[in-house]
Amino acid sequence: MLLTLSILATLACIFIFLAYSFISLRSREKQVEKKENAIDSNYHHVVDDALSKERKILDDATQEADQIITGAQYLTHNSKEEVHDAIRSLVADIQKEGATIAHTFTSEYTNSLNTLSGQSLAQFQTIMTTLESGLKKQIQDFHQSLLPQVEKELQEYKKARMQQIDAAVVTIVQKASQEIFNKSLPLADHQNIVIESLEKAKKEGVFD
Amino acid sequence: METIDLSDFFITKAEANAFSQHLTKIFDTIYTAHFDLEKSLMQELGMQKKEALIKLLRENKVQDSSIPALQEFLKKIQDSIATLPLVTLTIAFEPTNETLKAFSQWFLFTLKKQVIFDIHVDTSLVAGATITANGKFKDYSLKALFEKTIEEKPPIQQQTATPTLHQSTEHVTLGR
Repeated sequence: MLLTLSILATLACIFIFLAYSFISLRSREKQVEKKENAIDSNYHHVVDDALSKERKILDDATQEADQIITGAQYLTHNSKEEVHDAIRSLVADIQKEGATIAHTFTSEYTNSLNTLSGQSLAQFQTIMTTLESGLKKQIQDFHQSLLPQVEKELQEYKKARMQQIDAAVVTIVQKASQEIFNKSLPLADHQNIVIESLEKAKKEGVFD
Repeated sequence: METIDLSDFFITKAEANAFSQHLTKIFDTIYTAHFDLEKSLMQELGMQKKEALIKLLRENKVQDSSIPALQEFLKKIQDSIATLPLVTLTIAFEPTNETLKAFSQWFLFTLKKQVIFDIHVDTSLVAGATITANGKFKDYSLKALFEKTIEEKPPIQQQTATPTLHQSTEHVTLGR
């Protein structure tokens, strides 16, 4: 009985201990949850602050950039206008200067040409006169010295050619007359002449 | 050696060679079985020459039935052909067979001997002939006479007109 009581007491103690431990753990869990909630709330607060600051910085930067771009565009437009004006002015100046130079050059060139052509014509007339008198002299020299020599050589050449032609004619006449005589002679006459040749050969002792 | 008239069989050198070759063929078949002289002669020489050869055999009293006598006579003919003198004739026209016979007859009647002709044709000779016999050459053609006659012709008169008026320098102008 006593043992039963002691067991029961032990079990009661264990049960109490377990209950106490459970309550204690529960209490701690609640404390941890509280801390967690506090930390979470603090975290969100910090993040929200950071985000709001970031947005503000971005807005400020965007506004500043817009102002800068607007200023730059204005400056660029003005610069372009100024450059265009300067170029237009420069082109007009160059055109004006070019026209002046061209006019001056044309005048000078025309004057020079006129002068030169006058001089050339005079020189050409002089040269032609000299050439004419030179040619007359050469022709006279030719008639006096070279022409007789040329005529003499021409006569010799004609003579040589006539001799060549003469020789050629002799050959042609000879061949033609030989051919004609040969063809015009009857066979019997040919035969008789050969027999006469044989008679002559016999007399001259060809067959002895 | 007794001469045999072979003028019925050949006149020129080429004909003599051909006749000699035919005789050699007959000679080669003379001892074969069933040898028939007339048939063999007909085959090799033709009708005309066959008759002439048979006539020649009879004139020379050769028995055509005696093979040794026939053989001896054919040999004699071939020896005669080899000893015939060669006469080279260059003439100015194409000879007919009758012309060649006339030349051959001239030798037979005038010199009493048969010759073999080696005929050449050269129309530049005009007429006549050149003859080569016994190593001698003679020109009896009219070529030389023709050439001499042409060369002795009167010279061609040359007209040598000399110019008298030349270009005058009086009228030479240059430029404008």
